Amino acid sequence: MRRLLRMLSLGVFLGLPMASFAQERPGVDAAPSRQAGIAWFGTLKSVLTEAQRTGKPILLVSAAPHCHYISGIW
Amino acid sequence: MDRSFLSDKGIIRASRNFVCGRLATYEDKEEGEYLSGLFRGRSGQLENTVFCIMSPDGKDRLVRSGRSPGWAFPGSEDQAVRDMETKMDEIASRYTVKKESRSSLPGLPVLPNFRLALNVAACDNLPLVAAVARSKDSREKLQKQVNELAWSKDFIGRFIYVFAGEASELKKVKGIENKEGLFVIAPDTFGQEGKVLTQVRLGGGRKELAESLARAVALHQPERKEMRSHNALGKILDVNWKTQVPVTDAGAPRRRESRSGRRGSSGGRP
Repeated sequence: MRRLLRMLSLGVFLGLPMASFAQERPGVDAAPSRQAGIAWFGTLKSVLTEAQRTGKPILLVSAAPHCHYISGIW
Repeated sequence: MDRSFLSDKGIIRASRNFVCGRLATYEDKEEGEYLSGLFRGRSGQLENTVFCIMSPDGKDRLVRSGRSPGWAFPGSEDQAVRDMETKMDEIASRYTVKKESRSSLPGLPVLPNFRLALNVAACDNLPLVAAVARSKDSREKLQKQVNELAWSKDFIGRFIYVFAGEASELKKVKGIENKEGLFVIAPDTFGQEGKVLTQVRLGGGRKELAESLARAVALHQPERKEMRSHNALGKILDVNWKTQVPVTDAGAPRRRESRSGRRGSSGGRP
């Protein structure tokens, strides 16, 4: 029982910072989507080229494609 | 939570009047320098995430830059999303789209390499479209075909895209049958391996390519990801993504040493 409590406390201790860290992740929704989303250009060069071609303003986000070096999640 | 900002229907609608760029932080030195010029955290260093709306030349900030849309649009979530949508419409109305660009499509929004593209596809829970062609002519023809579909109403924003010169670049993908052509790939949960959903040989027509994309959308049924369990499983499996430039976010832990150099220490699982 004491061991279980210790593990739960550790989970809360580790989980809270991770949760707050996770909130600052733009441009992402880990839920499977069946709807058309934003069409993102993935490089700065392509963004600037397209913005120059069209004269449109730029919606820009950047995010690391990993969380604590675990890939597959923003 | 800012996830809702960029998956909101109103924001997606407003985004069609913008060039939308989502960069991968710490994956390109020059991009990192540009992002650092837009926003740095308290430590004075580039942080994991950056958000801003910029002028078409990429030089002027049109809203407050920060880590997420919430920095520019504070307040309750619902109100902030609506404020962002209104602001985007107002900003778009200030700029006239160049006439000469109206009759042509944007370029295909490809990621710079297959390794990153597969990971980004996993992050987004979207299928990855890999166009593989050896010759320049074939590549250009395939690019034009895919581009027309990518910006069509049916497929816009539903895939991640990448080019490859050889099918061997897709060695971590199961089910490759052709040496060249179009491959629609379902990434694994960590974006380090994948399996083919549909494929079309080089030389396939528009109808064949469109059917391939439509079938892939129907076949791709990823599970919803929850960060804590994803990370816990990743640690058990020793997933260890290697960034191209050092991570400087003060809130990020130091990169772990892989137990056996597996799973992403130098670009993915063996």
